Amino acid sequence: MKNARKSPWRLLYKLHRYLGLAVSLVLILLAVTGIALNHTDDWQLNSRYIKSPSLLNWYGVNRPSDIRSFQVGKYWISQLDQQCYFNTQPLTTNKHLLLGAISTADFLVLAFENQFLLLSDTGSIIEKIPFDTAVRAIGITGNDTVVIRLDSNIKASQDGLLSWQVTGDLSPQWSQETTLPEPLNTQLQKTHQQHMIPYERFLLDLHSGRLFGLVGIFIVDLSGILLILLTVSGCWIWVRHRLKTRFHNKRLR
Amino acid sequence: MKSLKLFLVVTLFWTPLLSAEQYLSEASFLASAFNTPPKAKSFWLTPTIKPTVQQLLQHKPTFLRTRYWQENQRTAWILEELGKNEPITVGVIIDHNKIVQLQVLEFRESRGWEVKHSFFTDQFIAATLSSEQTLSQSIDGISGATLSVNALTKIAKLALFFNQTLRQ
Repeated sequence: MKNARKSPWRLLYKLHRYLGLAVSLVLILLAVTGIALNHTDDWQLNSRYIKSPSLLNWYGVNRPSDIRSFQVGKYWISQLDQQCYFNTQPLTTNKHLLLGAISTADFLVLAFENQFLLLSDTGSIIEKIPFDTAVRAIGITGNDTVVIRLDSNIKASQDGLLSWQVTGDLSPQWSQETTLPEPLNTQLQKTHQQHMIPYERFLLDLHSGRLFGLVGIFIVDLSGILLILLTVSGCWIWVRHRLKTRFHNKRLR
Repeated sequence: MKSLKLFLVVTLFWTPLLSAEQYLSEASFLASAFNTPPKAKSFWLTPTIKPTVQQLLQHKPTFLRTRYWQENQRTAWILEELGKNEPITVGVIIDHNKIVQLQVLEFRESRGWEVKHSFFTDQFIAATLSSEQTLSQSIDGISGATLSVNALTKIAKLALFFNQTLRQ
């Protein structure tokens, strides 16, 4: 009896059992997150965002971001990190700095270093217009001419930003950065934080263990190795059991 | 804790910053389309054509106006469509209602960039739009670049539809 308890097969059974128990939680987590990630588009996981303050805090996005704001009539155009907002409504991302915003008779124009963004007065995007020279400032004249300052010259457009002509000094009113008033500032910071981490990113980090830093990655890697061992030991036990049954049946015959 | 946060923030933001790549500028694209590029014109998405645009894109259009360039029967369009997370900018040249050139101008995704190669984009040459809003020729996909392939196919259809609308 004592020998049977110490036999290598019994040890293998024990090892198989405890390995299974050890990796079970991680495997369930990997399976659930894996299934969810397979349905990213169906469940719109890349356009829905984490709103939990504790999770956002875990990601370290709890500090206020640098903000640039421009007042255009009764509207506020702001940029936090790379995200632009029309009042508190998210618009688009642009890795370049927002340089200014003006209002023409037909639309609002936001100027970035390499792009203009045309908006309606409800904040709908009309068009994104790329621009191949670095823009430094945007302004508007009394007769609705849009003026931009480049490094080497000043250009003006009178046809809805379809074409630009080099011009002299038209004395436009240049768009100036303005401090966003409270409570809009606080509201915008909160909205911004709640639009930073999509569920897809969270699930990917959970799936890879990255959410818990290097320790998490190590645990997921280790679980992978244990799963391989579990598969090998499982197959081994099954083969042994099958051989044993076959031998036993032969002896009975 | 501080290093963990830094680790998460860095992994969160580095990928899109590294992946953006411009292959061809607007000026170079237009130079390849016309001897002397004509002045840009604007094409508005009117309430009449919006439903068809939505049908072609399989989502609400994210713009209300687009620029195009025209010389006789030849038009050039620069359009954007979302790949997976980032928009892909594509230039399409149409002559006599047929695509004569389709080129990826800017690709911002980290995967699926294979669609920029001519072995893929040449499949669109001579394509027209049927009355059922489908392309006249089938486009072979690329494994692992399905969303980019879909984006380029949608842009090809959209450009042909806009060109058709201009002619009516």
